[in-house]
Amino acid sequence: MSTLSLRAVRMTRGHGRRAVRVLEDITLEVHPGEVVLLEGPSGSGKTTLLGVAGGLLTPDQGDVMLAGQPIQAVNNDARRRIRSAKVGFVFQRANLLDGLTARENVLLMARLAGLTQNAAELETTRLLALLDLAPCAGRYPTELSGGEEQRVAVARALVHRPAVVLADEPTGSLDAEAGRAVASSLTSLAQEQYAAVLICTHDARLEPFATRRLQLRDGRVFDASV
Amino acid sequence: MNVSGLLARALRNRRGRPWLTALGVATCTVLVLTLAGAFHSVRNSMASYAGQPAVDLWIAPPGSDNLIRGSFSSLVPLALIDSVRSIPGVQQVQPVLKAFLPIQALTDSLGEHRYTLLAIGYRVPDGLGGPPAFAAGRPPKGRHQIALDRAAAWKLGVGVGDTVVLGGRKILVSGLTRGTNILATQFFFVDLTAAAAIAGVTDKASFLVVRLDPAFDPARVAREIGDRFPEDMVFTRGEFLANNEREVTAGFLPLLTLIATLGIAAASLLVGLLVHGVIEERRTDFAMLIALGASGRSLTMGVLRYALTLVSIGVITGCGTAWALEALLDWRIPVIPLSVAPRDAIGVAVLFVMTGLVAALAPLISLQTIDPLEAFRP
Repeated sequence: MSTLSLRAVRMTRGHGRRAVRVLEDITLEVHPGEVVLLEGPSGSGKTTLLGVAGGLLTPDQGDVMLAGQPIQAVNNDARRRIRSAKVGFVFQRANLLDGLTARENVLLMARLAGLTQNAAELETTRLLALLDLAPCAGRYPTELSGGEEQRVAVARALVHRPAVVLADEPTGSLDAEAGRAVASSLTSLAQEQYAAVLICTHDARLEPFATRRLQLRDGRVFDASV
Repeated sequence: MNVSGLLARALRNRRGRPWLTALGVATCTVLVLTLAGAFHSVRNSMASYAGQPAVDLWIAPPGSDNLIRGSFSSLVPLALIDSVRSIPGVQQVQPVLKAFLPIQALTDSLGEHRYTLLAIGYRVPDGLGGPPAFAAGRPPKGRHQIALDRAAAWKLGVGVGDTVVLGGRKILVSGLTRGTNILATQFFFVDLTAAAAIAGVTDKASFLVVRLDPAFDPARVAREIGDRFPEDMVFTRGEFLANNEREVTAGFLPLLTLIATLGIAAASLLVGLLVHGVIEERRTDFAMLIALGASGRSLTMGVLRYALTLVSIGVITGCGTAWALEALLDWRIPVIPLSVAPRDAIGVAVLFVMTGLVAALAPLISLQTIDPLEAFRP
């Protein structure tokens, strides 16, 4: 059974004469432990698709199942709870909160997901160690390198053991070495946690880490593995 | 730390703006407490003199129910003293003469620092209606001595042992008094006959002050004196004090209320602007938090907690500064009397916290307009 499933999803952004059909009959499934790369040119709708998959946007038509739950059928509060408990996000910019240390940034996500203080502390410590971030745990984002920041963002995305990880150009702002380190950490740890991973990217460096590749063109998804 | 605590910390801005806001709140706190402190100081000074426990009743001529305003030409004849003394319960009756008289330091030959102050003529050194308290020195012992409010002495540049000029006569400063500065003017105390001579008054006084046998009810004796001498007015200590407080605060209170309200409004505006700025500047952070599943309630609580922290820092700093200012002014510039009361500080803290939170609520509405997809923008 897939962890993330989109069926016949249609999505229009904008209103009236400015309305643009962004997603057209999208059907895709991502299974536990699978790493799916979604490639496509800028403006092809990758971010919108991530928004729909993560329950941030409601599609005009179609069904979205997240960890077995139909997210368009529930109210905003329930959707928020599903998101915080079942989804991990990695953004192009790390988007860490400046006022918190690396450790606190991760801890905050764990607490938002409903982990107890003790469980959140343990899981944060474990992940920061796995990502070689233990020495930077007490540093603020402005004191971290770009690669370190993004690895903290990976820890934040995984700390609550989400069923689905959605990543938007996670290596887009990193150099080759840091990009590889982030991609490797994200995919290996997510697979270890048996999470379904959907990564939107232009970055060919990510291809070796993927189990499957998809192309998004003209609002439709095509299999790019063949 | 719980989620709202972490969120409040996350909103901390390492740049100076939050500190400027806290400083702004502190400044507004000092402003409001200073105004309240000045108000209380004036009331305390009035209570110190007009409410002095040695005097139970004040007998005043028609049209003069307080020390500050009223007819200076209408006076009580000194001949009345013996008649009042004969009333049961009356222990002592003594005259007090009030007059605004010019005074200057002997060394100030050009008269550059000549001030017209409220002179109280009484029977020196220990008569009723004399100085309520001393900061230094002792009461005047004769016609050629004066006890001067310490703020007035500071203005004149004189101290105990110096000489001042009053009505063309050289008079030695024997003491500096406390609780005799009502901001608009200060008191000085001289011998009754000297004051009468300078003011050109003969055999009359502004008030007769009465001390009663403690066994007698002041209100009852006051009625009896009033019945016996219907042309004059008789006030108990409480009534006379209330009259004086009314006079000194009547002009002061509306202005004080207005400025204090403006201070509170300014502090609220600062907090509102800060919260608005935080939300606008941190849109991406809020978008990211919404995407991650932070509830509107936890975000609101985080923002409110952040605002509350700044307001609290500002109020605590402001209260501390106001007390420090009170001590500093008392030490270096006693002409500005302050009496910052703990209850005022508590009141101001509660008021500022409440208005700060209300001011923070309006910008919080804009949180609802943040699209979580903003977090995906590079």
